[in-house]
Amino acid sequence: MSDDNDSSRVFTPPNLLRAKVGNKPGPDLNQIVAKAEAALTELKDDYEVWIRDDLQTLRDAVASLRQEFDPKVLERIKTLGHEIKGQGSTYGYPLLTTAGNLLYSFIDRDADVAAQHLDLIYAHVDFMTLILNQNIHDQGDANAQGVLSGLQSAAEKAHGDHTRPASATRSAT
Amino acid sequence: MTISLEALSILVVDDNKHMHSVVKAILNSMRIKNVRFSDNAADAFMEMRQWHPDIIITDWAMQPLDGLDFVRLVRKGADSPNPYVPIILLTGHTEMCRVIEARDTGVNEILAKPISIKSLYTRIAAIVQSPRPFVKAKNYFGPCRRRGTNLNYKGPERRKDEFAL
Repeated sequence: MSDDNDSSRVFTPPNLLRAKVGNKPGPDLNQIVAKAEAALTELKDDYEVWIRDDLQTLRDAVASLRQEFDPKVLERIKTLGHEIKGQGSTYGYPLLTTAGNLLYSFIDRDADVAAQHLDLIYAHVDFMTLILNQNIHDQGDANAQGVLSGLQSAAEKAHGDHTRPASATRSAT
Repeated sequence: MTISLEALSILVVDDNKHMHSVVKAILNSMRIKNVRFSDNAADAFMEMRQWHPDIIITDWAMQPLDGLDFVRLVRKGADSPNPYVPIILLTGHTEMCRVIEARDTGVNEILAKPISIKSLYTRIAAIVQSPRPFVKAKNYFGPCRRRGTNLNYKGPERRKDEFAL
């Protein structure tokens, strides 16, 4: 961040936006939140159509990878995981956000490892489908937490098996 | 008490149309109706030329140019329609290294996905009410990256000078 120091110039552009909005008071923040949540609730049915499409795309992508590996397809799966992470909670599905993040992180950590564990990628998709089908909105749902924990452990094991030196693997077994 | 934001115009740049609906719903709840959308950075740059939005909200993960490429175009492009336009970056990437990368590219605010309604309001209000000064340096042009002033700092002021436009 040294560029904010030596030989830098600091200046304040005129605040045109403050002048534009004026001094008119706006709605109470709680009213804004309530109105936005109501609007997002109206979008929820649409979201459930979108997310089902995304889950089908993920299933098709995994099937395609089983036929022939293509790094672009794996990247697409990662991107969709990231997008699901970014939207689930907005529509009352925090576990979809968590699962989307797990899927994204599993591939992002090491795509080569992920490519060898397509069943685990598919398990993430199955889990997200389950959340949707069973309408699970509670982040603390015990059964769902159990599955999440299993996915995390499996991902750790997959990456760990590939990073552990061969001698360590032998001595551990 | 909040300030009315309804006079603002906002350009939303995201290649995911679902996110267009989400952001539109939230902005409309703030009475911001003057909202346009672009699917990619190139279209957004064109839109800026014709429409001059007050604020830009952009996603990071896009193709072929990503959100930070777009920010660079806006801040440093020789043909940028408005290098000073406030930019809020929406991203699911919240790791510290990513946040620093975004900040060093010249975004005003970073907002994590899933979007918090209150956080989006707070960031827009901050841009309007307390805009940060701009810094022009050898390798950086954008809003000042210093978030606070250390009142106990006794060292020399290393910046060359400060002035208002």
